[in-house]
Amino acid sequence: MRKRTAFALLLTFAFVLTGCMNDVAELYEGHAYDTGIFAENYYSTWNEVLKNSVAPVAKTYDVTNANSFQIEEDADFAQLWEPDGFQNGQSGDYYSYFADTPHENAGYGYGPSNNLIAIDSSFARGFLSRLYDGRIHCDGITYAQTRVQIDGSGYGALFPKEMMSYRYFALSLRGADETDNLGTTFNVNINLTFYVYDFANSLYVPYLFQMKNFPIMTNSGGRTTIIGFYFAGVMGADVNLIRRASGMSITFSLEGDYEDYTIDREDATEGKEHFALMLYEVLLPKSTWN
Amino acid sequence: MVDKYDSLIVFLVIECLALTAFSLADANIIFRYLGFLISFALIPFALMFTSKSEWLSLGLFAIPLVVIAFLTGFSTFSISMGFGLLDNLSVVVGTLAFFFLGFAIRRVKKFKIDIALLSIGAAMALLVFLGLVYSLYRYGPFHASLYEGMVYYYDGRLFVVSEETKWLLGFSFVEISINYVSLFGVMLSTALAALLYISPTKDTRKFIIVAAIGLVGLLSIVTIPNFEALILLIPVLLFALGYRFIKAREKVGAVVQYIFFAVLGIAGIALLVALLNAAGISFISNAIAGNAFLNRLFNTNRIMSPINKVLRPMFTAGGFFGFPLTYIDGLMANTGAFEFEIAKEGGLLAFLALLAFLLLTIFSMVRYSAKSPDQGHVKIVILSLLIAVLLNGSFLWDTFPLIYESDYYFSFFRSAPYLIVLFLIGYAYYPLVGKPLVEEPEANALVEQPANISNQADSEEEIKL
Repeated sequence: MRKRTAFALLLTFAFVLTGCMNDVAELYEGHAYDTGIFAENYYSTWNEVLKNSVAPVAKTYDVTNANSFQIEEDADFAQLWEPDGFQNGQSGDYYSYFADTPHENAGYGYGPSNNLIAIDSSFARGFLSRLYDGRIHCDGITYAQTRVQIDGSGYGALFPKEMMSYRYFALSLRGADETDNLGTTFNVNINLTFYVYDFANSLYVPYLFQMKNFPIMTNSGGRTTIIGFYFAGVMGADVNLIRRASGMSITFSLEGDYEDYTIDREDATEGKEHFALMLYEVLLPKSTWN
Repeated sequence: MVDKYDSLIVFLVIECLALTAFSLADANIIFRYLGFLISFALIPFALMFTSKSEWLSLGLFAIPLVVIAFLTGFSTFSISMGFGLLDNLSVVVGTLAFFFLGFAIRRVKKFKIDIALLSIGAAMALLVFLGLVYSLYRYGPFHASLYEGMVYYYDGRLFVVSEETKWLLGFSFVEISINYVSLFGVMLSTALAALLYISPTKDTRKFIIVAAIGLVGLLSIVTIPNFEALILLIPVLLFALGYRFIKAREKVGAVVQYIFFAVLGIAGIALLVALLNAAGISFISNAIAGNAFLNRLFNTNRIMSPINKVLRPMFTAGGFFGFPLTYIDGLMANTGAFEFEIAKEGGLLAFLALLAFLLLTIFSMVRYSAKSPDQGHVKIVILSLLIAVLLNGSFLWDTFPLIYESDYYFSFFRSAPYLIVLFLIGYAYYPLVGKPLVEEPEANALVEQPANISNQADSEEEIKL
């Protein structure tokens, strides 16, 4: 009896002492990235392994207007392959862009119906859950807590699981600077990279998607542009190459004559305005994870 | 005839208490109905071993409880919250049943309160222990201090890690406020008071079990740590030490009585002024608003501000029988006190009934403490536990404890601790005048109570079980 009790106690202590302490693994002081001061709110974190253990780019794909979609109003959901744009997932009415949020109506609207947390709850924890929560534009409740602000060097993060199957990628975003120049559009090139871990070489192998020259709503309040592409449409026969992808990074550049702007958060050149991307949502609808 | 079913009834009551204390499946509605059904079986015992004067005294004592039961069950609040008829009805019958269970089970000769308390303690300790281990696994020890004020993101929203811990709710762990968990921890910690009476050498097994139950509770508070809950344990500790070691209780009791009545008088006047102010009685509210000190005291400090948000709607026609959902300011006000939460749930009459019930309970417990032949360790645990719940419930009750579902209303009057407390109040109920029939010599003979128990209790010696 005593041995059993001792064993149970030992097991309990072992469980506690070897605890994962996951819930305190990613903590921030106060309102991180949400101070109300533009220059303080850049998120530029790259996971160490995506900085140090990365193989050369295995393959690059061009994403252009021809093989992508761009959504800024209800009718644009018709650009999605059927039945992805329909509210009920089969046919009928398209999603309503403006009725998308609030988040409490999970399952109603495009974002809450397709967000990664709804697909797999392991995406819920961490700062980047802002990008997986289904709020595709400002919901009037959480304001700045909805978005992730990046400069040109962007961010790189691991997924909590490996992506086993996937259909299309969508990114909800807008541009932002500190001027009073409201409701404009900036042309942006986005480099989206998925990383597949190569066990043989212990390296992450990047697959680069160059999303070229997308006009993005800028200084548009809470309104965003949703851009994206179908993997099968862009990768063709290669579509299985990014199976088991376990990481993703986003960087960007401006396309065109924006010499008065800089996308480098450290650039202190006088007379240059800082331009940032405000990412609201990363969507991989109908993907599966393991 | 009645005697034949003693064991079965005692077993059912203890089972019901243990399930309630463990909050199995978070199915309090089932436990309330279970308590109600079992209470029928106890009616014959109550009828046989309760005198007419006791019934009269009990009737008067129970009037406020009946009002509380009906108004927390059926009110504007409960209807607009959509709890459902069966749930609301269970609150009425459960509130009365658990009190009655305590009252009537005392009259069953095979019932031993020690066993009931141990069952409650063990069941609740298991619940708390599971949460404690999982919390340590997820946060590590002392996370509320180590990471004070730090935040994390979940589902795209920001949360303060030092305000939460883990808790088994139903069949899964949830993130819940540390104050909610500490209520259970504090209740368990009061078991440690019994150790002042139990000999570790002569009654080792019992000492270890009681110590384990108490330590689980204390550890659940310390390892967070919740300093506010620990501070509120100090008066409980002082009471326990005083109760055990002060010999000249009558002299001290008289002093305590004077202090109690003085505090009661001051609190009563303050409450009356606050109520009149909230009711908008012009000469009072004008006088308060016109004086900086009084205005600060009754309107603008952080304690009174939420209380006023609750008291004011209580005097309106729409909020008289509890608040509808449209009274969002009042409903969301965090008073931290179940005494004011009842105003949201049952309105003015329920609020007044609760105050009356609290007063009657205090008087009854004072008499129980002084006159009951119960063993010392039983009395000290029951009284410490009631004081601990009163203090925690009055200062640290969290109406919205779920971290990720912060709009999910937790009613104190639908909670498991409330039912346990009602049972104990019912058990320890002592008529405000006279003695219970079961304590009369003839009745003692009738229920075959061992004669040496009262002698042991009087001499405050440790008890062998």
